[in-house]
Amino acid sequence: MLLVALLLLIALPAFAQPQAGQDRLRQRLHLSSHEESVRFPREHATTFAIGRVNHYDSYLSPLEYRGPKLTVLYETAHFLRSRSKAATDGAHPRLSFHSLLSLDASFASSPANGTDNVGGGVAYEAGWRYNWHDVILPRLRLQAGGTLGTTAGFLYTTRSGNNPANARLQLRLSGVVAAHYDTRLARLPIHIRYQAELPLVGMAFAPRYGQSYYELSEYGTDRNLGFISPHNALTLRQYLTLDLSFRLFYLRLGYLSDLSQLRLNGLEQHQFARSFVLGWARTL
Amino acid sequence: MTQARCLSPLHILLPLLFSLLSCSACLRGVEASRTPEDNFRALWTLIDEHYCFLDYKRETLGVDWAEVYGRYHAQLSPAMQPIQLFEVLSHMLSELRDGHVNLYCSADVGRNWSWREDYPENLDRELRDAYLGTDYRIASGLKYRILPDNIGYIVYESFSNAVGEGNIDDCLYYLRSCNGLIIDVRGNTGGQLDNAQRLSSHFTNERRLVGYMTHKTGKAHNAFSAPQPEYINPSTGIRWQKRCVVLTNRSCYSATNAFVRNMKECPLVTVMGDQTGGGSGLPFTSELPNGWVVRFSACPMYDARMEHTEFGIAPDIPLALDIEAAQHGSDSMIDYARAWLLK
Repeated sequence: MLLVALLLLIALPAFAQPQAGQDRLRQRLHLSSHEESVRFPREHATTFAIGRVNHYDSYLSPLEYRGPKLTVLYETAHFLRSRSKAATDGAHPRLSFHSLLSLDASFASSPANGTDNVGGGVAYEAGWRYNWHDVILPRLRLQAGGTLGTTAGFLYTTRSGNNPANARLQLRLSGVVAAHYDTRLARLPIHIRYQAELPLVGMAFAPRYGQSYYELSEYGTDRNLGFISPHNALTLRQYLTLDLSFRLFYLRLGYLSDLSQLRLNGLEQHQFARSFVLGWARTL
Repeated sequence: MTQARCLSPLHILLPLLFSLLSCSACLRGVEASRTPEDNFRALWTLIDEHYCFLDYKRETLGVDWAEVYGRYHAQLSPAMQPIQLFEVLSHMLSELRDGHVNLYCSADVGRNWSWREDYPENLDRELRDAYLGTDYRIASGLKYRILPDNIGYIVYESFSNAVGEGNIDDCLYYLRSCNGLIIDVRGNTGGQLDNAQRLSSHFTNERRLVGYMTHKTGKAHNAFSAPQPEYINPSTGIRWQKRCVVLTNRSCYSATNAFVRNMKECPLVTVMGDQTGGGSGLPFTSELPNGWVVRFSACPMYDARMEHTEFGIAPDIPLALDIEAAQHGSDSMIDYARAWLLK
């Protein structure tokens, strides 16, 4: 319950910004609506990641399965207003809030006999980052921060009887670093971003080594939640994007690498996914 | 100063990132392979680490899995054909004498069905059909009718055929005026455990301990979780309050074995016939590097006294089918049960 409450606390700013509060702050900072949108842009991006995935789940099979994966990502980001003197003097804002909602589906096959695995899941993460502007180079912005994220999903194999699927549930606290650079390609403004996320601590679900889901459903869980950190869940998510600026929106191209692993309750699983990203972003 | 540099986050994060990017720390599965050696090792290891009855089979059958490795590994040859490898692997699995252990390839199913093939069947299906007649009722997986001496007769041929609470209620309501009930599960080789639990819950008026279930917690042959008690709860629908006979033979396996185990704990139920076939390990499925599918017992189930039922459950009243009577159109097992219920 405490973890859910924490997650809600972090997620709330993404969905709710009371208008009255914004107006009061804008007045205090002596900003017009236009100036505010320039200094505190709110970015919304919807992208589709299409690529290949390599699944391994020792609960279902000792073999690695490979196939296509589609992920839909909805990202939001905005700078947080500060009441410090530096902020009122027009300095760049330092703190930003980021959230990411993703839905994925995969269809992987065994290289040995063509048996299929069907996977799916939903993930949400949100957190704050500290920004360093014009570091090393003009228009280069570095970020470091943390996110709290959760994942729920499944992997189903069309072959098995009493162990046909495995559930994926995770709650994790991750460290994030990112670099943003604004430049031009010919006369077209472009924005380049590299981002890496490394889960540091969290909780994950896994059945026990030989436990059946029949037993889980009939008799409840048996220490199925476990602590995770890089020692048993070394995971890295990297995101490289290129935003091409047009009049009303940004065209976003990118590459997403999601390498996740888990060793818990004597079981092992990994999901190595690499995808090309295409979508659009808007700044409000 | 030197010490401070050693403790910087970069010194922790960079090796971590490098090891992940180079995948030296990656968890990897088994690569696909068609060599006899790789597939033999994968199958032997799978059973060694996941099969739940290795200690029990050592005690009862004298199966030493390490010794089995040497004996069957000697039969491998790099040039052997896939079907020859299949035979070797199937024979190795047959050492376990477990109907839940199978090897599947596109051409064959490796199996050991000695649990029923080595015994008389004690069932004549044509004869049983004659008892059902042609005007019997069908409630999903249940076929039922009232026999001429006012005994209810239910045939349940497979626990893979689902039955819902409504099906069971309708069946028992129709048979409510009968003087007794026969549930004939001869030849029922199993199916879904849920169906077994659901049907048996109509024969108890109180929550009843019927057995225990465990699962493996690691690779060791004796690594098991604490036994989890299994109960049947009285159905909220119609519950049978008269005497009931369950007819069994050696083909009663897996979920049917669990059904018989449950029914034996119910006070008005008597099990008649031959010992059941057993099959008390909930089977899991996996596969070999060449894609052949393997099924194996993964979670052992016990009876209410924490005894194994892997090799079957003895009936309360042993019965065998009288072949001579069968030739004259009489199923001696059904007839004995009818007479016993009318006493």
